[in-house]
Amino acid sequence: MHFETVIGLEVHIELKTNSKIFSNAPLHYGHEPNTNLSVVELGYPGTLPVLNKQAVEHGMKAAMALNMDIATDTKFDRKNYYYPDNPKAYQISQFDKPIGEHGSLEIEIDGKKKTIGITRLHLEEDAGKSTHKDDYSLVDLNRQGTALVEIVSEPDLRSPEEAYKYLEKIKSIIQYTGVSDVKMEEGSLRCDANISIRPVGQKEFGTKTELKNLNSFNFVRKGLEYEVKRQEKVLLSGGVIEQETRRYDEKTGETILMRVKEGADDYRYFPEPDLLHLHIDDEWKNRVRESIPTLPDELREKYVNEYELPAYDADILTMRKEMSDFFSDMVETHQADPKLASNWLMGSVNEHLNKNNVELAETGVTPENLSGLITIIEDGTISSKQAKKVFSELINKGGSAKQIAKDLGMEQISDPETLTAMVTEVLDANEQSVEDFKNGKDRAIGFLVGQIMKKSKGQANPKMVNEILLTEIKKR
Amino acid sequence: MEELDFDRLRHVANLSKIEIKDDEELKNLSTKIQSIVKHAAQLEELDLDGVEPMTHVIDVENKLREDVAGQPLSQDEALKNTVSKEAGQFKVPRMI
Repeated sequence: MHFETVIGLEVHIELKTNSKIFSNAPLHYGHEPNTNLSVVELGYPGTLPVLNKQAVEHGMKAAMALNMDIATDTKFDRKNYYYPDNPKAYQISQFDKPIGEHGSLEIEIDGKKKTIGITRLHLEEDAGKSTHKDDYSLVDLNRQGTALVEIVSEPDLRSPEEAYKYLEKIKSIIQYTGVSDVKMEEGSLRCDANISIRPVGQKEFGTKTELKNLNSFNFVRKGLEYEVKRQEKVLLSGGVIEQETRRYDEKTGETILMRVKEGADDYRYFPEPDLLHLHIDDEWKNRVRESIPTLPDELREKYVNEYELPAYDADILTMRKEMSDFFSDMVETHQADPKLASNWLMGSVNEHLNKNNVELAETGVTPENLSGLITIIEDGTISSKQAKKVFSELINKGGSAKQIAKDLGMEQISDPETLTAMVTEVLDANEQSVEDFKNGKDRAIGFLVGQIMKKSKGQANPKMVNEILLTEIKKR
Repeated sequence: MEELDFDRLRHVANLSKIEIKDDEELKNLSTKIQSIVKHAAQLEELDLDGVEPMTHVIDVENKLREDVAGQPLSQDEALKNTVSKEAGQFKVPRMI
């Protein structure tokens, strides 16, 4: 029997704001525990939440970038649950009127485009973070009250690979809008997955399981792959899939049962009485819409069609806004050749970023100086071998490529007069070799070139040396 | 009106973290809650066709604050009222 996989993803993204969603408490990743708090996050009696305008606009921006309809009238709701990382015993969220609905994004699978529906995006507050010890747990509430959006996809994903592509696309789109750092390693992007399988041709969905603890896109893919196989095995042996929550174990690559779900979660949602309605008029929507930069899909098209880059290059360059901004600047402002610019960025630059775990802005390269490096390679001032050394200086210390090449004494000698003088000198000193060459010993030319390169300390432009050498020999 | 049997009552009690000692107490609670539910159910007799759901009593909207961070509580202040703490964190019974 053949099965079809059905996956839906829930993505949580922390919004980049200066203060919490419902109070003016600051938020910083990695601060000392419990130092980013006000009485609101701690749930003290008598305190009231006041909605952060920036959080709302970030939420709108994210929803717009994901092609969603933005609610005109919306509100917040209380989701009740007891847990130590949630001092109020409820989370302020959005239930029946999310800020964004009916969105979609496009992924590419085996060169084919596929549209994945996005059901909704809603605003809510994050909870604290707990650490589990042997017989107790510790709670740091710094994260409590951080503005969060939850993005729920339609069950449109049909393989772990599609789920992976969907996540990559969400991450790059949100990163472009600038509303979040979307760093999974810092928890500003988190993902839960719902997965079920059904016999091919069956209309009804199978019973789904929910996967948690998916700490990287790769673990999402691996966890889902494991779960597909596990569910197939259960069904083929005549068993039934239980509706349960499972945890992905990074060490074994398996999914482990956390709890079986008995009945639906009963959060007893009701409209949040401490917050007023939110009305978003067209003027406000338009203002936010105008602040969205060109998104990766559009840039990718441009790079392929206008700059004639391979699709692979365009994909890599549009994964992060800093990278495509850098590339566009090189090509548009500094007239760098697109393919050469792309080669440097995808190659040496990316290698440096990954190796040192740094951002582009933290390095010495700029669109101007990297374009300058390409120019002096192209005009023959330095060889591509020398370029590597110049690049290393450039990315570590910054500056101008031309000046660095000069300082390193590696500028190629391309002045015809200087080169002719060198050639003449070498020919005068090696009359035997000239004679050998004229008698048909081609190898003699190699020896002569070597002598000239030696004389110029390797700085003579090899192409020009060859040309001048042949002209000068013929004269003798 | 939905039947409020003992199972459902136990479920509601569980959600509300209310401990019920025995069936006697459950029975007692059941009578009380049934009467509350019945009272509230009178609302269902109203003809509300065409009436927009009201979720707030005051007709004010969009009270927002600018995204400016203020001075947070110090760690000592934040932990001042807890009975158990460790390493700057709230110490609680093991959760999982």
